[in-house]
Amino acid sequence: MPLNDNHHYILSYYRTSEISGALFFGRLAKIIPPGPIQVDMTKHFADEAAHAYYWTEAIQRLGRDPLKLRDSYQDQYNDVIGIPTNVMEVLAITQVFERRVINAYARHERMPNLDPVVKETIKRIMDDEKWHIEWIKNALKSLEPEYGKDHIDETIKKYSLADKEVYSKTMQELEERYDYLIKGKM
Amino acid sequence: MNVKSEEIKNKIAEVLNISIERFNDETALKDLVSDSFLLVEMAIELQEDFQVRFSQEDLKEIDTIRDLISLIKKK
Repeated sequence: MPLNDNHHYILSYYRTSEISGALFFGRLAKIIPPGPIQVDMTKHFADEAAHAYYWTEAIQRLGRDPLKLRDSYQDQYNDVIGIPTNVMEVLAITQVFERRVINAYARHERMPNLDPVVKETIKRIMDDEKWHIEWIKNALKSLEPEYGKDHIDETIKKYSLADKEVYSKTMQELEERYDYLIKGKM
Repeated sequence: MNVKSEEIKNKIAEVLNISIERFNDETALKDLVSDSFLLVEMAIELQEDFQVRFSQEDLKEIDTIRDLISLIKKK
């Protein structure tokens, strides 16, 4: 089934967001000190790059080329949340963001009459996304002696609130496009 | 913290990949840092190298290179 414009935009948006994620973690992986967080962050970077490839390939298999989109969801974060200043804050933001990503993909996967190419791509990505949540949770746990459990919990809570604000401010266009898909106007 | 301003400036120049002559104490950070992620990288590298911890609140108060050096020294 060929992609309609709404679906084309959403899949291109996913691709752009995965590229932004890869660039973000790639740059971090270069500077982070050696240790388990460096190992997992490097894998996370590689996963995000692979996901961008999966979406690029999926969009092409569905007969379109990816749209060139400037902004990704991550780009909206800095204005509202501010710039993370240490590894703990980076991981806390990422945990909140990854939950948002999983919810978005899970919702997409439930859409009616979903093309098998899209379904298969989401399924492939979701396995990695679950691991992302897990490694970040463990990494934050390992940072408790350094930053304090309460401070980490407060940071995650602060970013969760900010994430809701970013979502409501910036995702209106994507929401409208989701609505069209959910109502079966593929 | 017992660290020389020159050491911090050298690290800033290294992270930003610029010559140390490109800035002085009064230079605004926003004039040196081309994108927000570079600021994240610089903050993390400075903390690792000088064994200090910044918070978002700390960085909100930073406008110039002098402010940044003072923050590291007082930590």
